[in-house]
Order: sequence, then structure tokens, then C-alpha cells
Amino acid sequence: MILNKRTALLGGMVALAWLAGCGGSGSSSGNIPSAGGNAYVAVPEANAVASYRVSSGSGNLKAVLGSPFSGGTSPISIVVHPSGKFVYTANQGGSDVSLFTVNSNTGELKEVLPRTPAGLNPTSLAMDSGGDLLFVANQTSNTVSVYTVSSSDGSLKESAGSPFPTGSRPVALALSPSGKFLYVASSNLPLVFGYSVASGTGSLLAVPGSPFTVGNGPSSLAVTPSEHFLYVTNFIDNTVSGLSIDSTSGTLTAALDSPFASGTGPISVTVDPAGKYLYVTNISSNNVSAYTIDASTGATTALTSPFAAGTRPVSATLDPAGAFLYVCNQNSKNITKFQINQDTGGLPSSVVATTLQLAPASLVFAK
Amino acid sequence: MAAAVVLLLLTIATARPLAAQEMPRVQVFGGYSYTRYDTQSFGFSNSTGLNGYAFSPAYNIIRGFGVVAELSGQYKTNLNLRDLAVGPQFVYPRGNMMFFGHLLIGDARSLVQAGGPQEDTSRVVAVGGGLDYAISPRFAVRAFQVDYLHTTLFSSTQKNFRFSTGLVYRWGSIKKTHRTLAPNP
Repeated sequence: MILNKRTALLGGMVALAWLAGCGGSGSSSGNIPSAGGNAYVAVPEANAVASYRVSSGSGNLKAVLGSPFSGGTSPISIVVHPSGKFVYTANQGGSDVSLFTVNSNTGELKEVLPRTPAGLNPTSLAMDSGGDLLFVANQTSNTVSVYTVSSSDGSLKESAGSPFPTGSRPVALALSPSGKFLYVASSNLPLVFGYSVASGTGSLLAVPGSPFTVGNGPSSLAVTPSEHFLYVTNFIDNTVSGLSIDSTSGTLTAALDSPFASGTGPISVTVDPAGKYLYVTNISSNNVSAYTIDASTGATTALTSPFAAGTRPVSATLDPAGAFLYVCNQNSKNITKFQINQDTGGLPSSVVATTLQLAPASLVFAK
Repeated sequence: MAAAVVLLLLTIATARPLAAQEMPRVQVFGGYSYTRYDTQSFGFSNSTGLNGYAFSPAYNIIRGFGVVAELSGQYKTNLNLRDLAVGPQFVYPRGNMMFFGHLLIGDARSLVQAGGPQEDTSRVVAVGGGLDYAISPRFAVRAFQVDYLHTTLFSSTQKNFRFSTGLVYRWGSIKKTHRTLAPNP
């Protein structure tokens, strides 16, 4: 009897210890799980948008039934309304913007016609955190179109004064998290144009000192969550420029140690939600460079990288939790998912999250 | 649904008892069925409840064992699931009650409206059972039948659950044979 009781007690302690040690997915130190949700991918060659459910925990992507869903001609850039109810794409081929409604039950996207005209060859979209304004960079017409967004049906109405002239061949936009400032990369010139954004209408007014000098072939922009720093990939120079943002005027000044080296052909830049890490996608060297960010100076320190991606990676997006980095690979027609080590910012492991029949251009998460 | 349950309970409560030991040779069931369709497996945010019908004739070969075929369909706006399956059934009579279990294999077909009509067919394996309650020599009420249905539609695996209830028409009988002792010489 005593032996049985002791055995039972020992077994119970072992079981409790085992249960306490179970940490869900058994992930290594520094990793956090995905929050799940939905993700959307612009597929230009299919003239469509693919819709995915994101598994909570693993961050795996599963295409919803019926995906991809038809849209405009050659969608290249994509954003989701903060409500999660609407998705927008900039259609390079059609020089317009598509609006999709989202069926929250089935994950189906349904385009609302007619499409909204934009400038010639729109290449980049940005939306403010409130979902009230949409900005479109028009590469061939050298303008930025600004629209107000209806919260009820997601429809777009062009703001007074739009489109606003900007630098030559604008290819990328970045809106500061507060929505106060908009920055535009002019790919033909080593310049970034800065604008203050009028509340409500979204009208653009150049900030003092604009435009600002960066490297040759600016291709992508990212603003840190603190709104202190802007990073710009310089495609021709294979560098990244870091700039400090004046919180009052929006004026940019070069940050410490800027510019810094990247891989070959830096085409996309993104900052993690905590503002600690920077990731640069290098299309020619088929990899991702990772850096830590000094919160006070904006200077960056390269991590032991680069990390191999697929063939011709064209864009990178972090999930809202900052758990994974997803890279769209143009030639390998797939999306690589990198686990992020929260302690170091490194990318210790990667898998192919999904394979598409045609090249993905950009991915966005619904929050 | 609530009215149907009340009617079923009243029917059982007022049923005339049958002679024990009898088992029908043939049973034909028809009634209502509800399926919890595992639509989450192919991208829906949740599983989906569908309402429809079930129809199944069964032939008991020997006492306690027979074969059964099933045809069922459940529907919702823009979505349906249908199946046709056959397999063995095992029956255990107990007074007016008859417990049964079955294993069915066949084909399932589903149509979903998502970005256009999406239709697919897959093998279905159904495991389940239930209870019939005799209310007359020819009729019984199927108090419940619950099934687990395994399908692989739309390149995904579904774990579906179905509940059915209705009326059973029965004829023929398989009487229980009793052993008798040989008389003393």
C-alpha cells in the first residue's frame, strides 16, 4: 500500500513536471507564435489577389477556397483597411485602384466595380492607421494621388488638389504611423520627397528642405514605429540610407553611420513592430539582410546574415505580431516564411509558406 | 426543431409495446439530418451547419447483422454536402428499442460558391449508430442517429458530424431461435 502511494505520488510529480515543461509548439528561446488572421497576396500575372488564412501559432498560410480572386490588370501593391473589411490594389496595367470586399466567413474577395482611376502606372499604396486616407504613387505620371475612404463601403473619393506632383518615377511610399508625414522615393533621382499630410483631406504640402538626398535608385521606404527614423533602400548603390525625422516639421537629416551596406539589389525594407530590427530584401543576391536599430541614433548594426530566400525576392512583410517575416519570391513563385528570434532579430529558420502558380508581388496582413 | 423533439418524445411515451425477441428483416429509414460541415478545413472561419435529409434502406441477413445503404444531402445558401454510401450494420434489439451501429463507405460531393462555383468529390467513410424505438409492428421512430463522416474535399481533410432522426418502416422478421434439450430416451 505504501509503495503504491509513493509510486503514485512520484508519477504525479513527473506528470506535473512534464506538463509544466510543455511550451505549446516547443519553440526555441526568443520565438513567439503567430497571432493568426488573414493575409492577401497581389499576383500581377494572374490579375488577381490570393487570400489566405494564417494559422495562429505556426504562421502557416492556407489558401481559402476559390483563391485567387480576379481583380484589376497587374496588381502590384496591396493594402488592407484597418477594419479588415476592404482590400485595395494598385493596378499597374490598368492605371487604376481596385477595391475588394472581404467575406469574413469564407475569406472570399469580391471586387467592387467600377475601379477608381489613378495616375499612370501606379506602383505603391499607403493607408493611414484610421483607414481614412489612401495614397497612390503613380510612377509614369510622376504624381501622388490621394483619396478619402468611406468607412461604410470602402469607396474612394479623390481629394481636392489630387494628384500632387512629386519627383521623377516615384516607386515607393511610406506614411508615418501618426499619418502626419508622407515620404516618396523618386527612383530616377537620389531623392526622397517629404510631405506633411493635412488631416481630413490628405492634401500634401512639401516639408521644409524637401527633397532629401539619399543613394542612387531609391526603391523602398520604411518608417520606424516611433516615427523617429526613415530607412531607404538604394538599389543601384547596394546601400540603405537612414534618416532622422523631425517630429514637428517632418524634415529629414542623415542618421549616424548612414548609408550602410546591404546585399545586392536592395529592393524592399521593413521594420519590426517593436522598432528594434530592420530587414532588407536583396533581389539580386536572393537573400535578406538583418540589422539591429539603435533607438537613439538610428544607426544600425548588421546581424550575422544574409539569410537565403527564394529566387528574386521582391518584397518582405512582417506579420502583425512580429513573429515571422514573409518574403515574396518572384522567380521561384513562392513565399518564404522566416522565424524571427525576438532576442536577437536573427532569422534562425525558414520554410516555404506557400507556392503559387504565378509570381507573387506583395503580401499584406489584416490586423 | 423543438416541436419535432416534443412530438418524438410523445410518440415514444404512448407507443404500444411489441413482442420481444423480434428483429425486422428489412428497415427503411427516412428523415431529417443536420451536418456540422468542417468548412474551416478549406478556409472558412468556422464550421458550417447544414440542414437536409437522410434515407437509408437496410437488410438484416441474420439476427444482429445486415447491410445498409445511405443517401443523404444537407444544404445551405451557396453550400451543400451530399453522400451515397453502403456498409455493414450491427443491430442489438432490446424490448421495444433497437440499438444499431454501422460503418459506411462511399462517395461524397460538395458544391461551394466561393469566387465562382467550386465542386469536388471524394471518398467518404462514415462511422456511427443510434437507437430505433418501435411504436407499432411496422413502424419505429429513429430517436437519434449520430455519425462521424471523414471526407477529403477541396484538397483538405474534413471531420464532419451528422445527426439524423425520423421514421423507420419495417417488415419481415427474424425470430430468435431457442435451444431445446433433447428428450430423454
